[in-house]
Amino acid sequence: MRSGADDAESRTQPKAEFHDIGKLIDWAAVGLHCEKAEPHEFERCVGDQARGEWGVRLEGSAAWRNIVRKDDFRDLRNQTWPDSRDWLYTSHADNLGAGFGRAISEDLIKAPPRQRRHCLWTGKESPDPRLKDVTELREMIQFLNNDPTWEKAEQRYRKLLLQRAETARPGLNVTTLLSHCRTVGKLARVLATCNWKTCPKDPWKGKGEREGWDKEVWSALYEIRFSHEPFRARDMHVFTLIQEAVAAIAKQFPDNVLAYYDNVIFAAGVSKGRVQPSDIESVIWKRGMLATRRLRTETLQRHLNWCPKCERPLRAREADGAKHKCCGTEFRTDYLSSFPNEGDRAAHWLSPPDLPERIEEPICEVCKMAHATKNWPTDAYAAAGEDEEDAAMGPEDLCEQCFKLRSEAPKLQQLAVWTEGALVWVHFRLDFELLRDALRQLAQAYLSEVPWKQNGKAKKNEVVKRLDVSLPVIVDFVDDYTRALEEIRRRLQKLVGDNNLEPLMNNLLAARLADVGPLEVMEACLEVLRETFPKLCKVESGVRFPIRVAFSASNVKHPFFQHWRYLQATEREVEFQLVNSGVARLDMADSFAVMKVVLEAAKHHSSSLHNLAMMAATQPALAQLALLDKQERGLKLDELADLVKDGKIDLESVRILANLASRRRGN
Amino acid sequence: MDKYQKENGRRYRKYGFTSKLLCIGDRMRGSVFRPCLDVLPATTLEGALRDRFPRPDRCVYAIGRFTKMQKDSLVYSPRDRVAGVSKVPIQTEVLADVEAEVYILLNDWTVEYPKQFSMRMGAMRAQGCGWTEWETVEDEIPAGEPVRGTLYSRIPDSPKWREAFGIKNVLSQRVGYLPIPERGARTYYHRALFEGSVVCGDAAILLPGSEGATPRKHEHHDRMASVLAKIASVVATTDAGKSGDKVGSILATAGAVLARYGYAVARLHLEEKTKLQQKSKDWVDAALKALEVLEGCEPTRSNPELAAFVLKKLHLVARWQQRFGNQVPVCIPADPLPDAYGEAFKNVEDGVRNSDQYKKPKTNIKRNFATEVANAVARFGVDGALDRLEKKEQSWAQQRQQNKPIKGQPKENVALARRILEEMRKEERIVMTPNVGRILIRRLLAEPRGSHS
Repeated sequence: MRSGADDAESRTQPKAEFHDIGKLIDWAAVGLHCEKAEPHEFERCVGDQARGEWGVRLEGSAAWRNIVRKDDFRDLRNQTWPDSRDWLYTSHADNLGAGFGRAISEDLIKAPPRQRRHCLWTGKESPDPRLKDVTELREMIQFLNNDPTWEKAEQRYRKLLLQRAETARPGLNVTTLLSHCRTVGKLARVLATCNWKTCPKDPWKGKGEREGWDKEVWSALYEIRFSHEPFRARDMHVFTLIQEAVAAIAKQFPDNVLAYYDNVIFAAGVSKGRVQPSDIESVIWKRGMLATRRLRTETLQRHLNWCPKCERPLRAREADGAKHKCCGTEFRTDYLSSFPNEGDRAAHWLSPPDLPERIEEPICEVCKMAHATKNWPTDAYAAAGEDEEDAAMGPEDLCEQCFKLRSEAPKLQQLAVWTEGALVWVHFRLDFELLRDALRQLAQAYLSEVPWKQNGKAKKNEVVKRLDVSLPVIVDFVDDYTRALEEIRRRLQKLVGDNNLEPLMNNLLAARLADVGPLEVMEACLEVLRETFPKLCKVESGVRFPIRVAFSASNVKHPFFQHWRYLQATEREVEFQLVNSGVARLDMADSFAVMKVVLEAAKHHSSSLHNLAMMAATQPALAQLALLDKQERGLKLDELADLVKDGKIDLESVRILANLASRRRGN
Repeated sequence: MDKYQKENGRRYRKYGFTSKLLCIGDRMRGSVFRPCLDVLPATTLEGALRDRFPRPDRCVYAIGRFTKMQKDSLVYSPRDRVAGVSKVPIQTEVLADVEAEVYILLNDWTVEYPKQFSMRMGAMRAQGCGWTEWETVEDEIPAGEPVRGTLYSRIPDSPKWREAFGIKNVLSQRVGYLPIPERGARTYYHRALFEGSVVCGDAAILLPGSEGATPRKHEHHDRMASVLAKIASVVATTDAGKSGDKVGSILATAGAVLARYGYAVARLHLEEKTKLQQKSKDWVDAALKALEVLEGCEPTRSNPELAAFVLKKLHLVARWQQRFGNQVPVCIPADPLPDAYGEAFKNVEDGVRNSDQYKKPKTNIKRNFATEVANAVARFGVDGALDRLEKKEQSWAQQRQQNKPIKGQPKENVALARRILEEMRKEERIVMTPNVGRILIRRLLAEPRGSHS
C-alpha cells in the first residue's frame, strides 16, 4: 500500500540538473567567497539569516531541493522537505555522472582553480563564463525560486553552461557543466524509480548512502540495425525508420537514454527500476528492427568505487597502488560507459523473442524473416486502383511489413530523378570503443601536461595510466559529432547544390557529381572533421580517429546495395571506394599530407603510379624497389616514397587517388 | 548415436575444396542484381553431399567456410521459352578462385566418404558454376570439449543440429532463416543461427581466435616475399646486373612468352638467345635460373602471369638482397603440376630422337634452313609448313632430274624436318599455337644433335 508521502514523492520528480548551477557564479567576485571550497550550493545565501537578505524561497522549488544538500543544512532540509530523498538520488547520480574529478582528487594538482572548460579534441579553452555581478546572482535566485524547468534554465544559461567546466582544476576541467548537469538529472530520476524505502531520509552521509550500495545499475549500448536489406531505391526509407526508432526510444525513455547518435543508443537504468533493457528492446522489435547490445551490470558500490570503511568513494590519492590501504578494495577508475574489454568485447546480437521456428514458402525476399503475403508490384497497383505496368524487374514476394514500408515510403527527392552522371555516397560511423580509447589518450596527455603536487607525483603515472573516460565527456563529444555532421551537410549542399544532395540519414548522404569531382566532396567532409576535431587529426597525438569515414563513387545507377555492403564495413579511418576500380585507404591524421603529395604526383606521373600499384599487388616490397628505381632515374617521387615507406599509404590507394584526381572538375 | 560414434566418440573429417566459380545464391529474386553469399550455410553443404553420396536414411552434418575467394559477377539473360523472348539481363554475383575448408561429422556412413572427390554445389550450374574438387586435409579430428566462440557459418536452430555440433549454449543469437527441402519438391524455411552468433560448441564450428582467419592477402604477400628472396639469392650467383646494365627488352619479351605459353616455351625462348653480348647473356642466365625458382614455388607455379610479371621485373628483384638483406625465407614447395607445353615438347622430342633420321650421321644444318621452316610454321601452321616442305622437295627432285645445280638441303635434313613436323602434328596444343611450334622446330633443327639428350 502506498503512503501519502510516497505519492507526493512520485509527483515531484528530482530536478538534479540544478544541483551544480551555483558553479555559474563567481563567488569571489560577488563577495561570498569561502576559504575551504567554492560555496556553489549557495551556502552563503540559504542560511536562516541570509535567506531573507538574498530573497531565497525554498518552499515549492524542486530546484532548491536538489541544490541544498550539505550536512550543515540537515535541519533546514528536514524542515523544508521532510519526505524528500532527492539528496540521495542526486548524490549517487552526481557520482555516477561525474567527470574525472571523482577518480583524481583536485588536491593532487598544483595549480589554481580554472573554471574554463578545456576541450580535449580541439585543445581550446573557453573563456571564463561565470557571473560576476551581485545583480546576476539575485536574478538567478529569483529564477530558482520560481521552480523552473531545466529546459528554461538551458534557454537562459546554455552558453555559460557550455563554457563552464564541471571540475575547476587544470587537467580535470574537460567536461562541460551542461553535459554533467543533464546526465546527473537523468540518472537521478532513473535512480528514483527503484525502491529506496529501507534507506533513511535524514542523514546526508554514512548510513543512508550505504544502504543503497547493493542497488544494481545497468548500462547498455545498443546499435540498431534492420533485418530489411535495402535494395531498391524505395527501400531506402528504412534509414529514416531507423532514425525514427532511435528518436522514439529517446522520447519514450528520456531519462534512461543518456546519449544517442546515428543508430546508436547509450542507455542506463537500475535493475529493479521502472525501465529495464527488455523495455527498450521491445520498442526495437515493435518497429521491426534488430539490434546488437553491450550490457554491463554493477552495484552502485562498484560503480562508485566505494570504500566500506571510509564510507565514501575512493580517489587516486587514497589508493595504495591497485588496492585501497584501509580495506583492500580494488581501486578502479572506470565509469558507467566502461564495458568489459577482455573476452566480451563483441556486441551481442539480439533477436525478437517471438520468431517462428518455421516459415512456409514464399519467404519475404527483402527481410527474409517472415512469410510473404504480398506481391510487388501487383498488390501495390491493386491497392492504388491502377493498372499494372509491365514490370521489367519481375515480381517480388514481400511480407506485410516490407510491403508497407515500400508502398508507404515517400519518394526520394533527388535519387529518383538522377538518371545519369556519377555520384558519391558518404558514410560516417562513430565507433564507441575507439571513441573511448581516443578520449582516454587525449585526457591522459592533458593530465600529464599539468603540474602535480609533491604528494601526487609518485602516483601520477599510475593514476593517469588507469584513467577511464567519464560519461559527460562522451556526451560532449557526441554533441560535437552531431554538429559536425550537420555542418558537413551544409557544406556539401553549398558545394554540389541542393538538387544534387540526398541525405538519407545524418551520417549517410549521396551527392551527385554534376560540377564537382569526387575528391572535392571528400576534401569538404574531411575539412569539417579536421576543424571540429583538430587534436584527433594530428599525427603527434598518436590517437586513432574514432570516426570511420567512407566514400563510394560510381555511376548513379549502380546498385545501392553494393555501396551499402562496402560502406557499413570499412576498417580504415578514411576509405574511398571507386566501384570496379579499387579502394583507397588512409588514416585521418595523414590524410591532408598524403592527399597533397599524391595529387601532386598524379599530375605528372600518373602512369608510373598505376604501374607501381600493379607491382604492389604482387609484392609491396617489389613496388618499393621500383619506387627507388624511379627515384634514381630522376622521377620526383621522394615525398611519395617516404609516405609509402612509412606505411602511411599503400600504392593501391595511390592509384585510386590518382584515378579520382583525374576526375576532378575541369579534367 | 551410431556405431562409429559410440566406438570413437564425435569426430570430424576436415576436407579442403577448391572451385573456379561458385554461387551460393542469396534470396533476392525480383531484381536484376543477385548477390551471392560469402558464407557456406550448413544446409547447402548437407544438400550437396546428399546428392553426391545418396543415402536418404543417413544423416550428414557438415560445416565450412571460405578461406579464399574473390567476388566476380556474371551477366546473363534468362530466356522465356514459352514466349520465345529473352528477359532483362541479370547480373549475378559469384565467387571466383574459391578455397574452403569443411568439417564433416563422422558417422557410419560419412566415414566411408572417399578421401578425394568432386561434386557440384550451389546455384548457376548451367552457367558453369559449382564444380568443386575435394580433398581430405585431416582424417579424424576429435570434437573436443565445447568452447565459447563466434559461429562462422549458418546452421539450422534445431535440437538435432545443435546436438550434432555440440552446441551446449547460445549466448548471443543472430537469427535468420535457411531453406530446407521437403518431400514433393517443397521447401520451407527453418530458423537458423547465423554467422556472428556467440555459442558454446565444438571448436570446428567457431572462428579460430577472436580475430578470425588470417587475411589471405598478407599470406599471399608472405609467400611472394619468399619467392622473390629466393630468386634474388639465385640471381646473385650469376653476373647479371654487376655492370649495371638494363636488359628490359629481353626480360619483357621473356615475360610475355611466359605469360602466354608457360614455362617450357619461356625456357626455350631464353635458351635460344645465344647470339647476345656477354652482359645480356648474364641476364639470360639469371632469367633461366629465376624461371626454375618460379616454376618450383607457389604461387608462381600455378600462375604463369604472376611469374611473368616477376620475370619482367627481374632487374628489380636482383636488388632485393641489397635492400632487404641476406635473409632468405623458406620457399613453399609446389606440388608438381603438369605443364601442358612441357609434355607436348617431350612427346615431340622423344618421337624425333627415336627416329632413324635423327640417329643418322650428323650433317650440319644451316641455320637459315631452320629459320625458314620455323617461319613457315609460324606463318602457315604445321600442316602448311609440311606442304611447303613437300613442294620444295618436289622442286629439288625436278632440278635433279634436269641435272641442274641444287641449292637445297641434304635429303636427311629435310627428312628430319618432315619428321619433326609430323610429330608436332600429333600434338594438338602445338598445332593450335604455331608460334610455339616455331620455337620448337628451330631448336630441334638448329641445335647440334644430341646436345639435349
